[in-house]
Amino acid sequence: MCSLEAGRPYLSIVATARNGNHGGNLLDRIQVFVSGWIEQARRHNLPSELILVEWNPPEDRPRLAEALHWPADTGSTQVRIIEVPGEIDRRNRRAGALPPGQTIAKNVGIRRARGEFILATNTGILFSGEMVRFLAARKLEKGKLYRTDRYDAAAGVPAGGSLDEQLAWCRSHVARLCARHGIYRLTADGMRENPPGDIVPPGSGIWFGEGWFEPESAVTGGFRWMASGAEVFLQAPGGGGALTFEAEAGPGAGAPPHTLQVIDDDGKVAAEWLLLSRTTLRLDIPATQGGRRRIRFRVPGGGLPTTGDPRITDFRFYRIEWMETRTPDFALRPFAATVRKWMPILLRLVKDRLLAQPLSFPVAGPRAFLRAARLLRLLGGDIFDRGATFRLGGGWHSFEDIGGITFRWAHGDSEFGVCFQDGTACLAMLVEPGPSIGFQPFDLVVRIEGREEGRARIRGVTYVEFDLPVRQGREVLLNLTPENPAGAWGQPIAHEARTLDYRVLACGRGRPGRPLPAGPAPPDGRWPTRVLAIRPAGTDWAAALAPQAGAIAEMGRPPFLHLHACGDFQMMAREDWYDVRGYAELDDLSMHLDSLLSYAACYAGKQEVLLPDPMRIYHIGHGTGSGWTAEDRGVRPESAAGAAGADVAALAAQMRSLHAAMIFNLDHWGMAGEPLRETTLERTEAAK
Amino acid sequence: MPARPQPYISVVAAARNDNHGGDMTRRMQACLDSWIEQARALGLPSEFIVVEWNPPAGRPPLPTELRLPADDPLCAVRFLEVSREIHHSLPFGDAIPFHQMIAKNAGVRRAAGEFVLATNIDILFSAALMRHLSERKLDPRAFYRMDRWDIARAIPCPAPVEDVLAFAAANLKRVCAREGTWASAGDGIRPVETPDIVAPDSGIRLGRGWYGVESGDGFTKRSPGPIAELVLERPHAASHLVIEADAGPSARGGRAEWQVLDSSGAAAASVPVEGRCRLRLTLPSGPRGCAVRLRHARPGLGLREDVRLLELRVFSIRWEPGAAGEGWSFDVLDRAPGADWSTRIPSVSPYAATMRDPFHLHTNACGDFTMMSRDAWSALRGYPEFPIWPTHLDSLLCYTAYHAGFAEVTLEDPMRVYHIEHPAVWTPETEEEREARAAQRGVPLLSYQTFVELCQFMRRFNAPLIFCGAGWGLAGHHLPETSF
Repeated sequence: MCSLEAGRPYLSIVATARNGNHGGNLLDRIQVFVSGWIEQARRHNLPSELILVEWNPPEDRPRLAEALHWPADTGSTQVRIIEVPGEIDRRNRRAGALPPGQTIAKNVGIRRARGEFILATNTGILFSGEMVRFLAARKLEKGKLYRTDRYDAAAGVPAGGSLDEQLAWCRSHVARLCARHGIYRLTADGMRENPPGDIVPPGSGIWFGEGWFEPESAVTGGFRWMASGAEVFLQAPGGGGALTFEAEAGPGAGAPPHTLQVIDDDGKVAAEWLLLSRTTLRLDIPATQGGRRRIRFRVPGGGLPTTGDPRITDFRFYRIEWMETRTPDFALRPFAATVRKWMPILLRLVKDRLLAQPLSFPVAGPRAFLRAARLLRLLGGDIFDRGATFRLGGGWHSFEDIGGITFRWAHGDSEFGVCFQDGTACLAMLVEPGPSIGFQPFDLVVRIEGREEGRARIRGVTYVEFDLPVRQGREVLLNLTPENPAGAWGQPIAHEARTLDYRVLACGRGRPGRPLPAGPAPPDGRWPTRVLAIRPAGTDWAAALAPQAGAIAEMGRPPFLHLHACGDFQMMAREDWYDVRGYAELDDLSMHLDSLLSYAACYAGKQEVLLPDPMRIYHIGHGTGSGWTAEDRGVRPESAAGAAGADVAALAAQMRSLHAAMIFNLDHWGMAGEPLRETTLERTEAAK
Repeated sequence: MPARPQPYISVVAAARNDNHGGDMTRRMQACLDSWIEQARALGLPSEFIVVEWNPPAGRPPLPTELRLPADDPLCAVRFLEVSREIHHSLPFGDAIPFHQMIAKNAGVRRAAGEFVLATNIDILFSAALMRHLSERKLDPRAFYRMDRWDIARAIPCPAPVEDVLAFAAANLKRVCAREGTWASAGDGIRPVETPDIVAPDSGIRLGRGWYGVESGDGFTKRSPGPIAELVLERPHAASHLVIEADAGPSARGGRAEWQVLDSSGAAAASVPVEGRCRLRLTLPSGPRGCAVRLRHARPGLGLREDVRLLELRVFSIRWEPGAAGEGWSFDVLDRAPGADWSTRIPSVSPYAATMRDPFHLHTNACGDFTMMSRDAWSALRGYPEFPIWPTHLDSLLCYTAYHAGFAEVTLEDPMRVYHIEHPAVWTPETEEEREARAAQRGVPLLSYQTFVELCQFMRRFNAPLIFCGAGWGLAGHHLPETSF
């Protein structure tokens, strides 16, 4: 039945299985796995052995050798089924000598494998043709740990179909990608989906590739960490666009200042900044043939670890979005129409003597009326001047329109960013006290980074101006705070739950300034960039990590390993498996033992190599679990997916510091001394 | 000469001819003599392997500096050379001339004995120890440790081994025991310090099993180990000992239980200790001089910051007048709230409940005597081979062995190893100085805190931690060998 080449197989495939049928279609998935491998190995003439470790097979069900359909000719694959009877499982657990677990079952197979290389995987995996073609090329090297991304196919793979039909189903029904930095849903065209609340606006044409960790949230706002290099795919607006993003260095970037680079498709540095704090940057993206462009952020001095998190987190991005790049509309709306529309407000301005008494920049008398009218003539959308860029932070209520009079209520500290494009350095506002302070006068205070920049007394409808330390084209973040009200704070408002301290009717450019000369042209080949805003960093990493400085220095620049779904694909030379003594045979099932194997291999000197797309493994979807359930003698899978746990983080930190593997097994790992029954397709023998 | 039998024991030590500590070759000669001559006399087949690491330029090879037996029928002396090239292929080659643990591993890896003893070149082996080894009753499931006795450096040399050992027994300076290191004249009594939990000349002396004095938080105290001994000289009309103690962080549920053992080792009386208690131990009538052993009745919890198990802290022990009892009795006189260990250090490990048998091993001076079967060394892949300043690595191996299932067996007095004093000898007092030297040279070392963390992993997972790959002990390297 078996036409195995004489001699040793090049590759041993080791998986564990049992005919427990807890997963509903478990047997189908095992069948797809074994048939798929045998067929692929035959097509590519890859001498292999397929080892199934049948752990504690149920006595009332047929063994896998009988339950599965085997081809009449297994081609270049020899199939070996090694049985670990329940009696051994129970005996070991009674003695506390060996824990139950999928990884010890894999060790049983690895220890008995004869291949030059051994791939530890799981049933329910299909291998792409490109993957097996690569394996058959016999280019694997000793001293390497091979890994690959896992593509999860939606349930419904045609179990009775041909291999090509099954692979076609998987390709067209990818539900999820388990990559180095996270687990992602994919869009129809294969991009990683941006989850709700991500740092890019929905439908923005911005997608994240390799190097980005999944979005997180913090008091400083939602963000994503990037590792030392991170891809972004851009669908730029026609003719190119301007990307704006807000970023600050993380613990991996080292001591300030931090260099952040953008690398273009050709691998050239397209932009570079030296950053000291949380910075909003603009990057002009040139037009691209075909529309979609890939850029890569890089941190040349990055890659430093921390002790509490195995990730490398060089930079934190708070938002990435396209900027409005059309030429600002500096034209004023017609005077008469504007005055007519805003007459009620302007009349109140007049009625309240049309006087504002700003403490820093008094604008009083008829000048206030004329300037208020001018400000209103500048209005675009919302309450803002269409000739400048504004961005709202906290403290603002929704935009309201009552009879054509538009405004926003504000309460407490409110925040917004403003960017003037025409050299203006004066912010003008039309403000009125609200009911929560009894419509009484108050001081409106403007602060930048906690520093007071202006203060104005608001009495009735008031026009105020504040000179700001801004530069043309650079965003500045303002905090507005009402202070010293003539009445009490927090006065109740009938039928209104909100706090309405004051309202802003218009906000925009005040007295015109002089445009600044254009900045220097970027160096050859570089893309135009501009710093839009700078604010303090959310975390002072140098101070936060000072207690760990010694330990971090000892770690050097460790790799961040690809641990997602690593139990489905870990491949090394046989002697390398012996070097690390297989998976840790620990009795703490909360451990991510497959992740631990990757770390141990790495620090035993095996270099992690990622087999790239289109080399793929597909995980066949199933309903209720992988088949390793609590009923399966307490066996459950280790990290099928998900980030490494705290245990692995702690062990990884130690390995990084010590520059040595941490191996938990003795030399009898994989039940080396245990005679186990082995079934090949034709014969049954006792094998040791 | 007929072929030598397979060695029962391989002794492995490592050195370089740099006169480390002064008088190096003299001390080394005494060490070799004490082993070879006694092994020959006892008929113990053995080999003594010296790994000569990174031989200093301009100095002769070590074998030429020593008197070595040309044709000893039972003991081969083997010198293995690890070249400068190999040494400089390792990190910190310029800052550390000698990677002691890797050197020992190179010897262990090439040892032929059934058992392998890793030691150092300035150790003398007592006659009782050699007799025990020659009985060939070592257990392959155990690893062996023992106290180290430091002796004056002016040993007679050359001299018959009996004279050297007699000098050693008469010139003891200190003992390195499980519970610590202290000056000792060989009587097993721990000297009273100032302050201490017993008064000088009170007729109460501390024997083995007491950890050192700790004075943090304003109280002078000592913790007793699993079995702690009191050596008593009963004053007239006093048969009551009043002991002030509280439950330590390792006490399960905040409750310790302390037993007094009778002469057969059976528990004669016990007392629960919850919070801070005054205990009264009533002695039965008997001779004025006696020894009392106290034992923890309940297994202790593993701690987060300390490898020791601290079930109890004892603040004072004193005599109180009172008649002897008919037998032993152990009572609580009064009780007060004790320390809240949930907010103090050391604290209970969060994984204490899953630790199977946490145990405080005898790791003091373990680089001078760690012995186990060759197969055990192989299973554990020897010492961790971190190319760093070699601190705590030998202790780490002990914990690895223990959590791999090998039982710690302590060879007791009069079995002894003597260490010939030299200026660079390690003591707890020189620890800071050593750390400073390592820092000055830019060489990392394994801090005590990291050592404890690694032990915690082993305790938590009930598994050994092995740090070497299959190539441990420079397996892939050819090491030139000179045999005698």
